[in-house]
Amino acid sequence: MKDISIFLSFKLPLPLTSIALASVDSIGPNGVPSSVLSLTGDNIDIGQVELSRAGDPTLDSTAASNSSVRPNSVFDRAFVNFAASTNMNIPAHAEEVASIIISTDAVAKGVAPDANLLSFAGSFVNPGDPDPQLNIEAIYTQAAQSANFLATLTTHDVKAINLSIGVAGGTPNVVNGADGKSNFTSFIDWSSKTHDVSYVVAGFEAASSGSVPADNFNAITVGASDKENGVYRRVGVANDFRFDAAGNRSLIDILAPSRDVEVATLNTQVLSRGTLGGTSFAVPHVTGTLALLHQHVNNQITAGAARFTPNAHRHEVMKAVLMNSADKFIDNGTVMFDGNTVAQGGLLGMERTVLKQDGTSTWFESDAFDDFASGTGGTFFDGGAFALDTEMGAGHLNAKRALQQFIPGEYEADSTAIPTIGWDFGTTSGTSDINKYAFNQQMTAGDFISVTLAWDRKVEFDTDTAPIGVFNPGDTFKEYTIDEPNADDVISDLQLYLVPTGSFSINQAVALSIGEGTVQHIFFPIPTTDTYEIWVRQLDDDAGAQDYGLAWWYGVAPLPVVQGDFDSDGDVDGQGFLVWQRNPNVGSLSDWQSNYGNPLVAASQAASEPSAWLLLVLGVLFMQNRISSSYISRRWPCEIQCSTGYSRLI
Amino acid sequence: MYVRFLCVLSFTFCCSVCYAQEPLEIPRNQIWGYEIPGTRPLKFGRWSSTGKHISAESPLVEEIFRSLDIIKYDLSSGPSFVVEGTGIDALKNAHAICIKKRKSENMFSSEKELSAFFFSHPAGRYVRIIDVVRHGKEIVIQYRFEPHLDAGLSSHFALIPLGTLLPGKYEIKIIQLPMETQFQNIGVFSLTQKDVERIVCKSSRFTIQSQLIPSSEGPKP
Repeated sequence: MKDISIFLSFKLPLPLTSIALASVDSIGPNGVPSSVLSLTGDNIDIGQVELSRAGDPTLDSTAASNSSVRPNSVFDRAFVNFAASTNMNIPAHAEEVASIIISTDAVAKGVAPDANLLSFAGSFVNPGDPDPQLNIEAIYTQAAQSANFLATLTTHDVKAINLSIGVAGGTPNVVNGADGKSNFTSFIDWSSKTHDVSYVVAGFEAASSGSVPADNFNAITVGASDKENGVYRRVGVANDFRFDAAGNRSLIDILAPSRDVEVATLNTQVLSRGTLGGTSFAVPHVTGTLALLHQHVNNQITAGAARFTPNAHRHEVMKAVLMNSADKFIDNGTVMFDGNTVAQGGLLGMERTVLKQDGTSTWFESDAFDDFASGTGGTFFDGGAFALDTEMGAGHLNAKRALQQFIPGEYEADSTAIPTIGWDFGTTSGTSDINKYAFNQQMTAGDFISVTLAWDRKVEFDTDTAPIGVFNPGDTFKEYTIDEPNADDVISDLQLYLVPTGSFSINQAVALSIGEGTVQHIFFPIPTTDTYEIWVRQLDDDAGAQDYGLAWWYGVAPLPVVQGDFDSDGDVDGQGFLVWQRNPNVGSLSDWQSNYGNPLVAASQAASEPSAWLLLVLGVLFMQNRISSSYISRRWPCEIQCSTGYSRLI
Repeated sequence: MYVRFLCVLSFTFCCSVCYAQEPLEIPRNQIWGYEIPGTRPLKFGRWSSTGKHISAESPLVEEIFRSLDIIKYDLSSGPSFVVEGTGIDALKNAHAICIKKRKSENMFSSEKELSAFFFSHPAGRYVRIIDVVRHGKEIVIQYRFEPHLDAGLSSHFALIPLGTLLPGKYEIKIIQLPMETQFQNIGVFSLTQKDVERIVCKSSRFTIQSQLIPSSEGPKP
């Protein structure tokens, strides 16, 4: 026992140092955490449009690329047929954003390292020598044309496009509020709907980027998060909320890590930009997570899963799933609500408590926590006015929970009773149509439920030059005319209700979300133990019949499969290793090694104990190389004690 | 003898006038700058697959860089300040103020070489030093913003060598120049004065004495 302790004391600091790097934090337990999943974005096409592009090691020099960041294709609007030119238009920014999506670097790993990234230099402007003819509108037009190119490629099926851009212009939108009327924002919403692509857009940040296209309706706008006690869970200081969306809607849909994210950059280096990544670095965490979810859909469809059809790829579904699975409060039995502790399991298995920029306020202090039917003023329609929080959106991105949200599959309205977790791509037929989703089990008073509804605003060309139906320079979009409620003339208003089973009127709802915009969101404590229904109601038909994505979650979800979790307890830890030791046929030890320390329990609960397990296991591995297996076999019970002893040492 | 004395006197007078009034430019290539084009680059260590590459100054640069956090929009930046020494010595002294929270001095000896510390907090604008000129007892730092064309941010700092200075009261003047017309032409909006105040350090004053007297509390970065 003693010799092992000595070995552990002197030989292990190096591996521990590398494990403790912040570099993989943003995709690990303290971050998204996508690295716990057995998904890599394999065979999923993802676009990236910036003013410049990521480097391609097969085309560009070492200085202008990173061997760990290998886009599937690179394009450049500045050249004939958009063919990228060697070493041209490759700044660090585009490279680092790409790295967060696809890097295979061990220190700075991407969210979806096997995704096919198509990186497009949409409108390069050399800061030292800008084209005097160019203006902000021209830059945006070129970026839109580039995105249109990616979204309509016949050789690829681009599912999401990363937009970590935001030029400090578009003055009218900054002055008058983020109203979504600019041509570029209109393009984003038009293309989302027309091409069924998820656009992921950077939120407005420190005195810099404009509110365009963050003021979209149909895309996913991402805010930056900082660490609090080692976990990404506080609204980042980089976010700037002075220019919120026009009307009673929020720009931010979801938060994702930004500060101190290690990225693979040009010349095959890895670094952290500290806080300088801004919302640019938050966006690719979401884009990468979408790649993982699309891969899951493909896997399910290939396997013939009954509840997975191409509907699962819809951008409305993806948006609803991501937002509904976002973290708000850690579900560990410590959160107090209304003077009582919410029992563990009552907060949907969420893994972190998200704090606003002030470092103290939570969702309970948010305007969006207004889903009570009685509202704050005691009358029915006082509640549900604000779907999302101005700073937090729906909460913090959690790729693992997004997958858990997705796994049960699609359940149609007005058919069989739905399970406690699921989603639907549905359609309301017109004014007053109500789609009803009846739960198949009772819900317990005091437990929370989360429901998210996402749909599109309608955007049409005002000027559509040939080729018709494709965005070209010179094309413009119609502006909406009604400002209150915002954009009402281009939105079929959908409303979201939670009603007791058997209700016949929305006036019987216990919770509701009926705000402006194209997202509704309920996060609400069940008032009375009972069975309930979700109702999706179409209030008007300004945009005709309405497609939507709906996601719901009550209770605790089954754990998704995690590679290396040999004891099937939802985390990759020393106990799983012991199972492998007894029976190596349970799986590959390399899976355990790659995913070690990725717990599916609350991230902030990860303490020193796993490190002790790691020390034990690395010690055992070392011993295996040096000591005969028979000796190990005889010493096995002793090593358990050794681990305990080492825990005391640290 | 009398004529000779007058000549010497007039020569001395002329020299002193020249010294007081002739602007003295501090070339940018003598300025140490972090992410400021045209200056001698300050860099910090970088990770790669073979480990972290660290130079003597890199930990100091990295820590100073990280100390320049985003200033919330209802607050403003601190003033520029002066430190003893040049190059790595000045960097160490600036580091002591930024990181170790040592109070910055505002009184220095005429026998010591000095450097001015200029900085900007993270924002979606690059801060470019255009020129640094000493007009007698005024050290004028002129800078201008350049827009980011992506959703990233940047922060910057510079150590400007001042050499030794004659006794007297000095001022570091931070002057913003208009954004270049090429950016104005493409529609990039100018920052508000409040944004400028929270991004870029403020002007400051310091005193040089022939015999150094312990200083009072100075400004903080």
